[in-house]
Amino acid sequence: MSDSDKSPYPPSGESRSTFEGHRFSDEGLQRKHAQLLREKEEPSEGFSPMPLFLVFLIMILSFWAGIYMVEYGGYFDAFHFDETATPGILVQDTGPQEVDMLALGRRVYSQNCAICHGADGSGQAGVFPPVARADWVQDNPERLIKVTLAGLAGPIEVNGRPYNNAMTAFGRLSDQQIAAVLTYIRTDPALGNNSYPVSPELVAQVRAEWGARRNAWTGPELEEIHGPVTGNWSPSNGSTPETAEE
Amino acid sequence: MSVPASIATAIDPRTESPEAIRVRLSEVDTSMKVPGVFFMISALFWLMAGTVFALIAAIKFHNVDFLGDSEAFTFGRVRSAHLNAMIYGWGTNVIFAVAPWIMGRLCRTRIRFTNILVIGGVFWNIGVTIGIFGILAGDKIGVEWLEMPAYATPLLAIAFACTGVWVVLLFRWRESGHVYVSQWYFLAAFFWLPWLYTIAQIMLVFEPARGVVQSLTNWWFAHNVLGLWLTPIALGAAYYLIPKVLGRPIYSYYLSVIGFWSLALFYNWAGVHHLIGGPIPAWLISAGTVASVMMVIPVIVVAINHHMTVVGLHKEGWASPTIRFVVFGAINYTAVSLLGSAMALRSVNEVTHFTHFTVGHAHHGVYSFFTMIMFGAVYYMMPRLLNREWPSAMLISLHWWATAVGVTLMVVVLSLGGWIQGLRLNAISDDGTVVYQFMEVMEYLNPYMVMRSLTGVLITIGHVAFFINFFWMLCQRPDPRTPARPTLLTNEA
Repeated sequence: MSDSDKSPYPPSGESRSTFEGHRFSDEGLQRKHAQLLREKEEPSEGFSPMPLFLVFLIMILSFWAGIYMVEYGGYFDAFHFDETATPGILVQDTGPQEVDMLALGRRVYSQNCAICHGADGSGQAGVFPPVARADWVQDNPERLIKVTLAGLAGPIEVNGRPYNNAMTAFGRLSDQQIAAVLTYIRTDPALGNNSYPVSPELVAQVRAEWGARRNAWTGPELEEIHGPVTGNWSPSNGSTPETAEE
Repeated sequence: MSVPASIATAIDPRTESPEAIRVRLSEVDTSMKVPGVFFMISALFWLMAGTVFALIAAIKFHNVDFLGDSEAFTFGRVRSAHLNAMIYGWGTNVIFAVAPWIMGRLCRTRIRFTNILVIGGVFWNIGVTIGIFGILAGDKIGVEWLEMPAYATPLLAIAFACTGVWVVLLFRWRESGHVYVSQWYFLAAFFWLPWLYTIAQIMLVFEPARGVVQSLTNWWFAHNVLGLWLTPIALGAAYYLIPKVLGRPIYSYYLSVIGFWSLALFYNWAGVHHLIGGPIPAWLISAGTVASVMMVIPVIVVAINHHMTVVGLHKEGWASPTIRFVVFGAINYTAVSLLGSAMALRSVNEVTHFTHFTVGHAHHGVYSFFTMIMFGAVYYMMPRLLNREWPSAMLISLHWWATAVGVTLMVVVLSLGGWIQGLRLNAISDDGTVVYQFMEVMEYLNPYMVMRSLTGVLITIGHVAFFINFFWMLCQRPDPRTPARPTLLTNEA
């Protein structure tokens, strides 16, 4: 039981004790209503004044609320989603944004490629071919774009070592993302490849030509189109007839 | 008759002598006996069922294969079954037991048509049972806090109407002059929940709103079930029990007024803070953040009011099971609400959102605050309904220590783990790559998840103690010759 007094009678002289002994002195009645008799008076309310600091607290909070709504209210506009932006900037078209292809490529690489090819691009001997200091990477970019779009399966040779595994297709990445990641692996000094960047337009072109392809490429198929991997390919010394106009 | 009472009677004829009031209280207790016992038995079985679901869900976090073969007990279902069993099974049943009783006592009028109350309660429990089985069978709706399938919910709405209407009507039939603060909270809550529930059902299940309005409605509803249903009931119960058990008036009527109206004004805006970072117009989220922070006002006000009522009577309070549970709940109301206001700030929310921090916060609110106050209320109510005493002080003590320590540890573990989880998930290095892979973060959290399950076991022990004590009390035959002594927790009190 939860009363604080133990005896069925409240101690005499206690404040707010509301009993009159003679009315409830019948013993049977007391036993029947023991719980009810020992409980204290029904709750009531005092009228202590509100503490002064509370007035100040309410004022400060209301003031803060006003400032917050003015600052981050989004101008009460249904199409204003960024609380820090101003509406003028929202409608101004500042033209295409300059994208740092290396930074974007590094991010795309770490999210998609690094699991197999390694964060430092060294791959895994005999299982996943390297992208750092690799002849394939410094070859014709169209070959790389094809591999990225539709994947690659079967035996290939990278830097003279044989690999036989399957690479997933990354056709879901955008032209810009593919261009960025290829630019990154071809030009970033940390990976040791010394080639030239890949443009999103080239990716779009290859995608338009080969985007319908669903099954992964194989080494011989690519060799048929682009010739053997040289590791030092550029549009000027390109040996395959199909890519000569690039 | 004491002198102040005579003066009061002279001024307001409805002011009755203390003896007359006690006779009325006796009528209230007698009228509430059958529905009270019925709702308590239902609530206890749901509490145990919800605890089992909770343990299964918790174990799955560190032992993924646990019950992995069972389709019904996959995480997505068992977690929803836990939530719904606790909110609609345990929480609402215990409210149906406690709220009419306190409302009746404060209105000085017996509960009428208790048969309809019980019938409504039977259908409520049938509805919850159908809903939980529907969730486990895979029919759940993908709306948090409203997962019960659509074939269970109309029954719930009707059952609630049959049950809740008597609390509202009790107020209509009141024979008390002054309206006490608990009555405001109860009356408001019994209007708020039907309003929330029907609007949410219509806008999300039967005639779904389009686009982001759905998620806005979802979180408006889910946060308000806590804020406008569980919270006012628990606060009303605390406002009744603290002065009642300690025999001292509530500190300040003025603070009660501010606390109630600021809660009513601010709480129903606050749910939008669950959508910070989402594709919601910025002003709506800002309004939700502001309302959440403004909740500091009712929280501080209620904290002062309760604290000033208890202060100096801690020894008596510690001896009383009711006050122990209720004061624990009241303290946690302050803590959880201030934390909640902080979590609604955009910068904090970026870390805590989608982490275990939020889970800890939810248990802090629904368990440490609401459920603990309800335990306290049950410890006070049952002896009066049954004219019996709690058979075992040891079991009450076990219940208190296991649940209080268990839930506090759980909140600490989940908050700490969740905070680190949020920091690691957000960590970005200078070149824009993530510092921690997702799996690394999950593996890091494993010890925290084991700890969480252990605290869950502790809470389960407390629930079992409560369960045994309750049915022991129901089954015992008290000897009419021995004087009834209250079951207190310390001998020297």
